[in-house]
Amino acid sequence: MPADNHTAVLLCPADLVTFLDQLTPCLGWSGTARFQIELALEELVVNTFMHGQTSQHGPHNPIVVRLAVQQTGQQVDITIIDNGGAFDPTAFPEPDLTFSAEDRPIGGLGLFLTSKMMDEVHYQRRGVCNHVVLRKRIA
Amino acid sequence: MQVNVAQHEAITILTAEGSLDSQSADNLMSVLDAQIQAGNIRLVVDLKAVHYTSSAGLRSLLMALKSARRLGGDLRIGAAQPNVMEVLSLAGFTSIIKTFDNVAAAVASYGS
Repeated sequence: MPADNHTAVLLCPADLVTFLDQLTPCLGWSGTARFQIELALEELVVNTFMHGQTSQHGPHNPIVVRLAVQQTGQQVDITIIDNGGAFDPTAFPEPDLTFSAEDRPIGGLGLFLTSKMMDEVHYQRRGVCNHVVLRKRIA
Repeated sequence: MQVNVAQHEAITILTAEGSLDSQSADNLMSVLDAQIQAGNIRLVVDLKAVHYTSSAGLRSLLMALKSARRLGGDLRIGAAQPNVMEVLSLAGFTSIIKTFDNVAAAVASYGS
């Protein structure tokens, strides 16, 4: 089965929605598939732009996120490469969901939601870049 | 994201519309904050027209819930769409925030 490939370069979080708006009709994603893929990606991309800055970054070396989406039949593989500081999104602590509202910390749910939306999440640090691969079988 | 505010006796209904993501969640938070600051602490958030939420949206809802409850009020959710409800459920929010199938039921839950 031939693969359908799409790529994008994101310079800010808003670029993600623009890319997904173009991609969704091309790849025939259902509303739920789009929702789940957007949620998984938003949490990762926003995290990179918000927390990925290091002393190596600046106006001449901004944070850049590259996305490659490959769909083969019902399987979607998304590779996310960024030049932010080393960060493994698979190594986050599981949030404790049993706290009462009063004791519940604000935040800490983003990467947990990414893991719940996807079938697989893999991470590698290669040189100065983070490589995250998401895999999802869509309905 | 657009947020409209309506008053139903002592209950404030906030009707959100659009996508509740990292770009827009602060807008909802600002409107919720303003209502709580004004003493409107019996809140219903109508999510019927919200088709997407990320953790940024959950953060806004949780912050407002905590603020309202500290003052003796509450924040309740009405008419969340299935995908949004799934995120609320996965994040454990359905055990800390009262959710209702529709806004009328959320309003009625406050009693007279």
